[in-house]
Amino acid sequence: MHSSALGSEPVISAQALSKRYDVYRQPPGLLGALRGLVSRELTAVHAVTDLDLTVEHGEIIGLLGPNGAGKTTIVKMMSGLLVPTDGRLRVCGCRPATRSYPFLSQISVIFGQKAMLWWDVSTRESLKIHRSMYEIPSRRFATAVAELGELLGITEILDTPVRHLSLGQRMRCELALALLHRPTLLFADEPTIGLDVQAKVVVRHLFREINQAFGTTIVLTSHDMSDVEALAERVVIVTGGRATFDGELAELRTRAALPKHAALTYRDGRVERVRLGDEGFGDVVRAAARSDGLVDVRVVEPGLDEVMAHVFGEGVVKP
Amino acid sequence: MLAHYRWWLVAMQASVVVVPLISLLAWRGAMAHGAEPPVTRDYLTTYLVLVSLVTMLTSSWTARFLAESIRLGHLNAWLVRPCSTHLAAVANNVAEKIAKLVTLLPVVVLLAVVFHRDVELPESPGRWLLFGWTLAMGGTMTFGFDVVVGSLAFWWDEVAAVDRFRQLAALFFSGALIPLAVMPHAWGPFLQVQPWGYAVAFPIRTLLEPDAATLRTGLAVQTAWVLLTLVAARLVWVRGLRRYSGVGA
Repeated sequence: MHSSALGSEPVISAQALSKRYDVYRQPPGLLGALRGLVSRELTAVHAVTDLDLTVEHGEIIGLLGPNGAGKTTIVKMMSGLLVPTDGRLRVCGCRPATRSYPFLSQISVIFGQKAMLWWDVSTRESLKIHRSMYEIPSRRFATAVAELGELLGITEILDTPVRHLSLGQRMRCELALALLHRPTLLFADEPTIGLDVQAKVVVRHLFREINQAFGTTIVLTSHDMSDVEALAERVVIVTGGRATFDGELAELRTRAALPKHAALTYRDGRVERVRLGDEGFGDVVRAAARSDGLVDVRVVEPGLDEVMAHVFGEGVVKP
Repeated sequence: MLAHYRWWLVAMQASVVVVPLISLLAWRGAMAHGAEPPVTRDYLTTYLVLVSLVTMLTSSWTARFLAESIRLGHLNAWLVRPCSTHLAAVANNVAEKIAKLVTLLPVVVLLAVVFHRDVELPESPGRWLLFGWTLAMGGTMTFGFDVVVGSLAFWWDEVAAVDRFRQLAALFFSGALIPLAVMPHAWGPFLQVQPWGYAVAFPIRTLLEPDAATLRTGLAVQTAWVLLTLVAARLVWVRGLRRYSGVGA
C-alpha cells in the first residue's frame, strides 16, 4: 500500500480547471440520419469552466448542483477518468490524468449507480482481489474485513454471491470494498441511493467515523439533502459548469435569503404557516394570541431542499 | 443451471472440432480419388486434427466486451483502480482456455487415435516447447489485435462491423478453415507476411516441418507481429483514453 505523500499540499487543488466535450450533432429524422453519414456537425459542450477549488486534508465537502451542471465531470477529472481540457489539477499530490499507481491507491470512488463489486462472486472474493490490487498485508486485511463487516452489518453476507444481495446489502458491501484500503480521498457519488432510512443513517455515521478516525477527505455528490446536511460543513454549488458558491451551509442559507416561517398550532389541531418577512415575530405572535386556541408557536427555517431549489433556479450566490 | 452450462461448453467444443473434421474427411476422400495436394496425407491429417485446439488456444474475445465497456462507461470501475484493465481481460482469456481445454483436449485425442496411422507428431521435447512458445506468441498477438479493435469504440459508437471483418479475415488467412499450405502457390509471399497465419498455421507448422530456416524466419516474423500489435494496442488505448467521456456516472 502507498501512504499519502501530501505534506502540506491540499488534497485537491484545481485552478482554472475546464473540460470541453466535442460532440457530433445529428439532425433529427431519417433525412438527418442520411445526411449524418456524409457530414456531421461538431459542437463543443463546455461542461466545466474555470473552476478553482481547494480541499484540505480531512474535509468533507458536498458538491452540489442540478442535473447536467458539471459536478460529475468534476469528480471524473479528479478521479483520473477524464483528462481536463485546460487548467491545473493536482489530487493527492499527483496529476490524476496520469492514473499512476500512487494516485489510484490513495483514492476510492463509490458510484451509487454502478457496481464495483464483481457480480458473480461473493463480496469476500472481491475484497481479496482488492487486497492484491492495493497490496494490503494479510494481517491488516483480516482486521479490516472484520471491522468493516461489523460496522456495516455485512459479516453474515460476506460469502453470498453479490447477485443474490438486495440493493441495500449491495451498497453496504460496495462501501466495504471502497474503504478496505483506507483511502486518503473518497469520492462518493450518490452513496445512499436505494438505501432504507436505517441504512442511510449507518452509512452517514460510517463516513463521519472514517473521516474522524483516519482523516479521510470526502467529496460527496448527492441529491439527498439529508446526506449533505448530515455530513458536509462546506458545500460547493456548481451551475452551468461553474462554481457559483463555495462556503459553509449556514452561509448558503443566509445568502439564499429565504424567509423563515412561524408555525402556529391551535387547539383544534389546525396549523397555520405565517411568513416572517417585514412583519416582526412579536407582531405575528401577538396577532395569533388574540385567537383563543393558540397552543404552540415554532419558527421554521427553510429546508435545505428549498434553499437548493432556490439557488439552482436563481444561479445566485457568488460569494 | 450449472449442468446446463457444462453441457453447453461440451457441445460448443464438439462443434469446434466438426468443421476441421469435415475438412479432413473431404480432403482424404479427394486424395483417395487421385487428388494431389501440395502436402502429404500425414501433414494434412495431423494439421486438421490439431487445428481446433490451436485455434482455441490462440483466440481472444476481448474486443466486443471492451468496446461495450467503453460505450456504456463500465470502464470507469476499472480506471479508478490501481490495476490494468487489460490484466482482467488476460485473466479471463486464460481461465477460459483452461476450462475449454478440459473438454476439447479429449475430443482432439480421440480424433488422433482414430487417425493415428496418419498423425505424425515429433518426439523431441524441444519441438513441443517451441510449439508452446509460438502458441503463447500467437495468443498475445490476437489479444493485441483485440485491444486495438475494441479501443476503436473510443472514437466510434459501433465497432461490431470492424470486429466481424477482422474475424472473417482471421478465419480465412489464419489457416483455421483451410490449411495455408494448400492455398494457391501465387499467394505464398502474401501468406508469409500476413499476421493471422502466425496465430494458427505457424504454431502447427513448428510440429510438422523440421526445416530450421523456415522456423527461424517464421519466429522472426511472428515476433515482429507480436511487437507491432502490442505497440499499436498501447498507442490506440492511450490516445483513446484521452477521448474517454466515462458516460453515466
